[in-house]
Amino acid sequence: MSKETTSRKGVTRRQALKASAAGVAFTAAAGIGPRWLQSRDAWAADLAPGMTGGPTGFAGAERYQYDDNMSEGRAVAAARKLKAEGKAPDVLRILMTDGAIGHFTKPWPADGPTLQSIWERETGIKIEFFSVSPQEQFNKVIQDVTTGSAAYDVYTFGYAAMGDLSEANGIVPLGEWIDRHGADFADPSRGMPTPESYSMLYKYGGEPMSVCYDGDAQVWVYRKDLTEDPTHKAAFSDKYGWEPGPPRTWAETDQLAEYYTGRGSPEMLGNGNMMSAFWGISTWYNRYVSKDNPNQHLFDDEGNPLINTDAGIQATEEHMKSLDWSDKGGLAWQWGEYYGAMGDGNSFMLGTFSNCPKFLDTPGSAIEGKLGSFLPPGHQFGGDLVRRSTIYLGNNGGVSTQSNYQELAYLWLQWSGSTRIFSLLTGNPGGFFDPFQLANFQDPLVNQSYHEYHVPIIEGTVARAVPTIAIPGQFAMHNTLSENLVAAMTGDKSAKEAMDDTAKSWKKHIRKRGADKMIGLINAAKGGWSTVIDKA
Amino acid sequence: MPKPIHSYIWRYALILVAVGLALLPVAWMATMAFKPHTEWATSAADLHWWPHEETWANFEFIFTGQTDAVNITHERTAGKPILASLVTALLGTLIAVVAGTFGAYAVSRFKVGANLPIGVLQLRLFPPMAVMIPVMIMWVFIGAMDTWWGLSLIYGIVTLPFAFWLMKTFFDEVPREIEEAALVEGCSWFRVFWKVTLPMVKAAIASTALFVFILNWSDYVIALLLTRKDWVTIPVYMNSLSNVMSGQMYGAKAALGLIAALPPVVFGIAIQKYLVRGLTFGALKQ
Repeated sequence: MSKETTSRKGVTRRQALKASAAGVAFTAAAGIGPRWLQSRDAWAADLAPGMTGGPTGFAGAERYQYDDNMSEGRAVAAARKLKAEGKAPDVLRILMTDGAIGHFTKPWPADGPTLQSIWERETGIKIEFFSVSPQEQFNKVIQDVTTGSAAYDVYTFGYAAMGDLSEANGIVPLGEWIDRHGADFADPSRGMPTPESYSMLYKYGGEPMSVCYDGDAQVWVYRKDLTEDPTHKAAFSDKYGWEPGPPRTWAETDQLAEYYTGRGSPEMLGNGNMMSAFWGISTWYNRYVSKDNPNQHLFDDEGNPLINTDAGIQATEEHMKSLDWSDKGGLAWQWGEYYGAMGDGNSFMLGTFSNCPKFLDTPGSAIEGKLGSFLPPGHQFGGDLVRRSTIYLGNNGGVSTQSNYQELAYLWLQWSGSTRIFSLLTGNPGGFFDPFQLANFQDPLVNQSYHEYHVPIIEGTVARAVPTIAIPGQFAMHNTLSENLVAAMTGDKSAKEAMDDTAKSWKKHIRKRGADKMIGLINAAKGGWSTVIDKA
Repeated sequence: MPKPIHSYIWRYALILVAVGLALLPVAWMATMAFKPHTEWATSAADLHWWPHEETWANFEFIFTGQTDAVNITHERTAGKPILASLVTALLGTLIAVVAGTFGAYAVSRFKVGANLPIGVLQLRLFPPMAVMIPVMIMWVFIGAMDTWWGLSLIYGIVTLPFAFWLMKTFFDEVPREIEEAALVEGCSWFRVFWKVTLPMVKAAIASTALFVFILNWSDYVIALLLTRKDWVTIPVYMNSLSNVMSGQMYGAKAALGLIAALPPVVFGIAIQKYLVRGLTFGALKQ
């Protein structure tokens, strides 16, 4: 007898198995295949006339659709081409912070599709997200670069890390692809509000190195209901000589903080700003950078730190004083705790990331309908009022030098960072990426989730925002500043000592990294500083 | 002469105070695990020991990523990290204890490799962080990043010196005469080791295994560096439990901490009868 068992009709077991497998494959192809094709057809049929892609299935979806001549459409078409040529993987791997992945994986609006599903159905390329905590984000990227593990095609990181990653050969320059695929990031009618802001958030050393995902200008919110309360109105006016409301200067801001401290039950914090190590740098920056007209820079043109000048010492003293109106335990908080205190009604005001009302002024919350927002406070110089905010942290996407699919990784960034898809993305309450493009501010869904009172203020704040340090070694430099600010607030150092020590360390750092090169980068970064001046 | 009664009272009072102090954070964690969000948030009105309204919401949150109690969701859940911690800590312990036991016996009995004990100890003469970049490069090269076996292997390597030195001390205390008697009866060295010596140090192996297991179970840095997604362990996952609307999720962390405390406790109870003997093994010279 042969090795193979023969059935009564003379069919071998192998033949029977082959026939079964073919049958299963045919059934699957006949049953599932057309259904998939049908759904694809159905989806395409829902697009507005002339559109080739984008979300469907909810009212207003056409606002986010695109054709092959739009930034998103060009990205999808190019990705499909790469796929057809065998130059794309089955799965694109993206490293992203916890709390941001929901932008892509949660439907928005509720009856809409997820962004991930839109990309996957249009390109046939799957997306896999790797989540990381914000504190570990940069470390994970550097580890991938250093070890050459090629675990991710796309990294996300704070915009200020662009310098470090560029110098470490961790991310690929994007200029050529931006030109070739026609991204609309800098479109004057839909993209970045100003050439300065485009330079600040996309470029390093004059070259586009990453795609911005998160504006992260520090925007101010306050308890509008309390300033409208007649009792507070009268008491405040008697004491300070002006009616409580959005402050225009830092002096007025401090008066509001002083007055509202200890009001209410439980006792309220007049200053709900971030003051802790790492996070509190932004609060100090906001105060410091408006101390000159048009800007109080961090370095002069020869690369000497300016933070230990009178302006820096004064800003530090005022910053230390503002601790009187904060929670002392707050020196150990992270940004979420400051949000929590505001959301529970325990803080009067907070200058922070622009998504604060998106997450806190929500149905059923303790502060529902009670918030207002205002343009950043500043300093007066004759008839000019210099109002400034800073862009601290943020999130940018970069193409990994380790990736085998660099162009495709860029196309993902172009698709998700272009003005139509990004407007849909940033409005989604599933994540914390904030609006910063002109198109975002006009978008009804962004206005719905960020609130109509807040969106014009975000737009005005982004226009008045300046960068923090964004040169190589910025982590070490920020750490030094943070340590010295905390030392000053805990009484270990005077404001002057703290700023002198920081300046000394920064100087040493610049010398070590090569003074000529660093001075060039410092001065190039000044192109990203706002020049908007208000009337006093 | 019997000691006066008050000396006993003082002794036990001191023990009670020490135990109380040691258990205070554990008790705080245990009660916090059952507190609702409003009682553990940074903006909570006051701090109190017992939950005013007991809830399972923190446990529900870590296992499902959401709960009706608060409008917060989390991308990852605790199931996989718990499994990852169990698998890698157990395998790492197995590697360290088996290799450490064999190595320690060889050195103790045959005096092979005069510098070996110090050589093994060198693995602990610097913090693991100091060598993590080369380790990561090697792990990438052999495809061990974010795998169960890669993490288990490094745990085995890092804790090997503990296991080796503990076991060597124990083997040194086992009387050679017993082994020699077995040899005279015709046993091979391996048979002597397996049938005579090993049963005598069972208690020592149990306490070594517990010690090594706790080291592996509580590791944060190595797991943070050598995992990405699939084999993230409890401590790494715990670090991700923070949220934009409330900051650190103390309640969820306490719930996870309570669960994380269970395996070492269960392990300890399971080997309790060996443990006391293992810890006192060799305390008295023959």
